[in-house]
Amino acid sequence: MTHSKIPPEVKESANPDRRGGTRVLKIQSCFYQLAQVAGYEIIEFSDGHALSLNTSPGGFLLLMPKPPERRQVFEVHTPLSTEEERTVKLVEACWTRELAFGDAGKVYLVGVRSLFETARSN
Amino acid sequence: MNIMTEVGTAFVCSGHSENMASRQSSPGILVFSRSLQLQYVNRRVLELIRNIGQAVTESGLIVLPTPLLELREQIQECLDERLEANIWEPFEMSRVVSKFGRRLLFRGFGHPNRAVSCDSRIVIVLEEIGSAEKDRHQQAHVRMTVPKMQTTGTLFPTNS
Repeated sequence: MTHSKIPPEVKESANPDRRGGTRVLKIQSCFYQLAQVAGYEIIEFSDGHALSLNTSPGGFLLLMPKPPERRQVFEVHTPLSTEEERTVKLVEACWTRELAFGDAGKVYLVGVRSLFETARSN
Repeated sequence: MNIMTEVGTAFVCSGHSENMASRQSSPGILVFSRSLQLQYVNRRVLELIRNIGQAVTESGLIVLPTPLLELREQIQECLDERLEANIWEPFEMSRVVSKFGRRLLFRGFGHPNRAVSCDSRIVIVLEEIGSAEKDRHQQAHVRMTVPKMQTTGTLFPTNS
C-alpha cells in the first residue's frame, strides 16, 4: 500500500539556506540512497544509514557519514511510529557542514528540504 | 540521548540485509527537472524496467521505456501550461504498462515551484502490480494525502 504526498510549501527566502520553520528535536536512524548521475549515465549509487536530528514542516537535519552535493536530490527512508510502515522521502540538500567525529573520522550535518514522500507498509 | 553513541550505532549498524529488504519493497523513483534533466534515479527503477525489457547499456546509460518517456513529456507539458497560468497545485498523472507478463504502475507528479519556476520538478514513481486483485487493492489505496493534489490523468492499460 502506498500513499504519497508533497510536503507543505514553505515560503522561500532570499537565502535558500535559511530555516523554513520551527524545528522539533527528533532523533532517529534512517536509511539513505544517493545516485550520482550525469545526463542519463549513472556514475555511482551509494547508500547507508544516517541520523535524522530534528525536523521542521519543510525539511529536516541529517547527520551523514558522507556528504551529498549542494542541491543534490536523494532518498531517505524513515520508520513511522507503528514500525510496520515507513516513509520514503525525496529530499534536496540545501547545505552541508563537516564535523570531526572520534579520532580520525568525519561526519556531515546536512540540512535538507522535503520534496515528496510516500508511505509504505513493510 | 547521547548523540555520539547514536551516531556510532547508526553508522555501524547499516546492515546489508536491512538495506536489501528496504530496496526490495521500495518504489522505483525518478526525479526530473522541468527541462527534463535527470536529477535522481534509484536502483529499484533499474530492476523494474529490466523486467519489461529495458535496462542500462554497457556504458552505463539508462534506457527509459517509451511509456515512461511519454508520461514524463505529458507531465512537462501540463506543468508548463500550469506555470504559465499561475496554477501552483501539484498534480498527478498515471498509467499502467503491461509487458512480458509484468504490470507496472507509473505514477507521475508535477511539482510546481512557486518561488523559482525553473526549479519545478517531475517525480515518477514506479511500482510493480501483480494480479488483478492486487491491482484493485493498490488502486484503492493509491491516493495523494494532500487535498490540493489534483489527479488530472486517468489510468489506462498499455499493452506493448
